[in-house]
Amino acid sequence: MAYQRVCASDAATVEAGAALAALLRPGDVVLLTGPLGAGKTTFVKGVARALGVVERVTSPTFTMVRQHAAHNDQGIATLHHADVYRVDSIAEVRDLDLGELVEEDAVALVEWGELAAAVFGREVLTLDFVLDEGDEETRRIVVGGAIDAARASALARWSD
Amino acid sequence: MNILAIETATTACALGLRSDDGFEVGWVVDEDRRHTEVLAASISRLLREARLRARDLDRVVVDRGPGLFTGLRVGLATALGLSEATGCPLVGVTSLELFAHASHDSGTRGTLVCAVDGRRGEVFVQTFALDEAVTPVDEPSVARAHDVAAKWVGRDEPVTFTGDGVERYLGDFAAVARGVVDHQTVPSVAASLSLGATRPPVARVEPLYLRDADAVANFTTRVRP
Repeated sequence: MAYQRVCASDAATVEAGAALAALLRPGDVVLLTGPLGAGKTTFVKGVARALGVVERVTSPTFTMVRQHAAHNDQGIATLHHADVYRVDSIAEVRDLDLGELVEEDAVALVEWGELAAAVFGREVLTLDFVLDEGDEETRRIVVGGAIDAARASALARWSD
Repeated sequence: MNILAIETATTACALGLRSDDGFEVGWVVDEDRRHTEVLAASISRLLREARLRARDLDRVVVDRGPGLFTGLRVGLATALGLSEATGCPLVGVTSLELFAHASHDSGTRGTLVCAVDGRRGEVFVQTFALDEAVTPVDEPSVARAHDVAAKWVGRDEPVTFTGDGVERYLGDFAAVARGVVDHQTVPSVAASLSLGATRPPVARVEPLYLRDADAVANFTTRVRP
């Protein structure tokens, strides 16, 4: 069963992120994949909003990772927003140490994370952003990875 | 031989010291990931108690993992620094063999599965055969804790599990009918001192990150648009 949702605008992408945030638990690592401009950062803005992040979320392409304090009743105190697009070696991804940081009441959303998927282990959620041919606004977000039963039913509701 | 053991492969930080004067101590300094804060200060304190200076050390033994990434970095950097500064030789041991040797010392025999917490559902795991000696029967690898335990569920062969990875996922390992758990959470500094004393020193100690092989392969073949 594929879990996916079509977003016809940036606003819809933010909403998709906000809705997905409800499924997140402390310790989650989410890898976001898709071409430049596919809506990955836009999606993270929605996740951040729903997790109660007050700061503005911008692309961490140059800083590699930004930490945002989160305020929610899901037990998630920190959102780590990373982007490994510019990373030159796997050691730099490992140095970010996201797999251990998320154990401290945090979640990590990693743009281009599939480039270094092995660093994050098997227990990750993956989000593939697929752009519609000929329509730059419309994107399809496909969810995969380690999906347990509790999350499967929530993802079914999240999907179109 | 004056020998110092540094242990930072789990959330705990531990030290061992054995001196020519018969001073021997194993000390769990902290159990809550404060390696950076406590390690260097604790080494100074331990040396003072043993009435030694850093340059009196004949050998530094360090646990090179697998284990907690942040801890390993602190432990290895400190060991390398000490060795550089004093010229004392360096020896590396693995967290998995420390668990195995400590279990052997406390009387475990037969098949022993050591598991170190790999975070988020996974463990670093290695199997040992324990008789008079401790012999590894496979290479260290990374696997889901649940899968490691499941492999033993239907077997009629007794097995002992040990390590902080077993403690963390105790529910999975307790499901093995012929399984016994040897409760250990901190790789033994006593075992580290004993092993370290007999091993040939090495020029450099590298951390054992078992997830690297796959990661490097994927990374170097990646396509960036």
